[in-house]
Amino acid sequence: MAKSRGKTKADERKLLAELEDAKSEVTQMFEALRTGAISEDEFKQWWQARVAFKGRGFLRSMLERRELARGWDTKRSKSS
Amino acid sequence: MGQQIQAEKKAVVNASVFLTAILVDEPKEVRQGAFQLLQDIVAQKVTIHIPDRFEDEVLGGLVEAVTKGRPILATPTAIFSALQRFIRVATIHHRSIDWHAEEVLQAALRWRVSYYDALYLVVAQKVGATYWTADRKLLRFLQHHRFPDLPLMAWIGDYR
Amino acid sequence: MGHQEVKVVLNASVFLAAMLLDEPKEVSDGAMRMLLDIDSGKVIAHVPDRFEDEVLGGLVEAISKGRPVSAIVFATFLHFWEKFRVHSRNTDWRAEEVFQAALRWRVSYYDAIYLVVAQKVGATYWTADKKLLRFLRQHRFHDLPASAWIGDYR
Repeated sequence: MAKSRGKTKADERKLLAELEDAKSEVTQMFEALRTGAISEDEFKQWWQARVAFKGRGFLRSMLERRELARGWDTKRSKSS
Repeated sequence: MGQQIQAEKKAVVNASVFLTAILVDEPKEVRQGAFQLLQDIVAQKVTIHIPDRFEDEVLGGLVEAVTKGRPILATPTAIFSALQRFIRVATIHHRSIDWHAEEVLQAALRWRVSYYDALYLVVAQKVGATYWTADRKLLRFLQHHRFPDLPLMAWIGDYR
Repeated sequence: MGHQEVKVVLNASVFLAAMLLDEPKEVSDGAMRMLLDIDSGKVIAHVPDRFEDEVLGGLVEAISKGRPVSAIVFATFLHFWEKFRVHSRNTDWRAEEVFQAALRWRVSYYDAIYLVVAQKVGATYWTADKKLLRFLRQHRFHDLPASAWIGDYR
């Protein structure tokens, strides 16, 4: 179970409240890339600055959980 | 009080409750509660509501158990058939019709639980059912935080 | 000359890899290239309906662990969700065939959903999961779809 640490209720409401503006920004940036108004490099800079987030080990732990679900490693027979 | 009794007649069960009943090496207290609830459901003493992905989660657990060589109650084929019989007496809540990803996401963030837990809680909330789970940590967390819009919840080991 | 549609099935981990700053560059670059190709229509992406739950579930988990996931991340997912060909349970894939496939190929039920969708549409299944790929190539099940590692996407 993923319990929230350090994230207040107000932060979560704020996140959802910002969604409409965020949708406009995303649509505009993809449109600008498509029409050539911005280069692919500029688009990637925007992506790095605005979309991508730090998540060291996040993907690895996701893949490890999938691996456990396959049960190939019979030494680790923890229940799901 | 009347609302609580009504809620107890309607249940939402987590996939782990079904899996607990078929996995022979699960703790006895949880298995007994799971068996009793499943029997009451099949006997229609309790109305069961489940999200559509319940079936996937049970089968996912079953495949994992088979691959890991865990002792199960019957053959995979027999358990698959038993699951289908169980699903036939259930009210299934379908994605995009009865529940929406966005409301589950909002619930997960509001209650600070996983998306997966939020889905079952949202279904329970919608139908006014008690949510039965084997996850004591989840129950403790939610009971401690007392979010006002949560459905009733209970530990399967307490089911009589 | 006829234009052959390029079809992919991508795993939720591929989508999330494009959004992570500190993943190995080849993985995030490959994932980014694929997303750009999906957006421009060069590639048609097919996903099972549960892809939505897996991505959102992953993002909820990231938030719960204190990762700085902003509204724009969710907005980006919604942008791509509209471009995917979504395969629904009971209509496009059934629990029974996935269950049988999982046992036959000896993979998890969740892996099997993606592989079954890829098989049905004749797409290559792209994943960040090297161990899964190694396993599938080693065992050479005759009815598997093509599969590839996202770091190799060009």
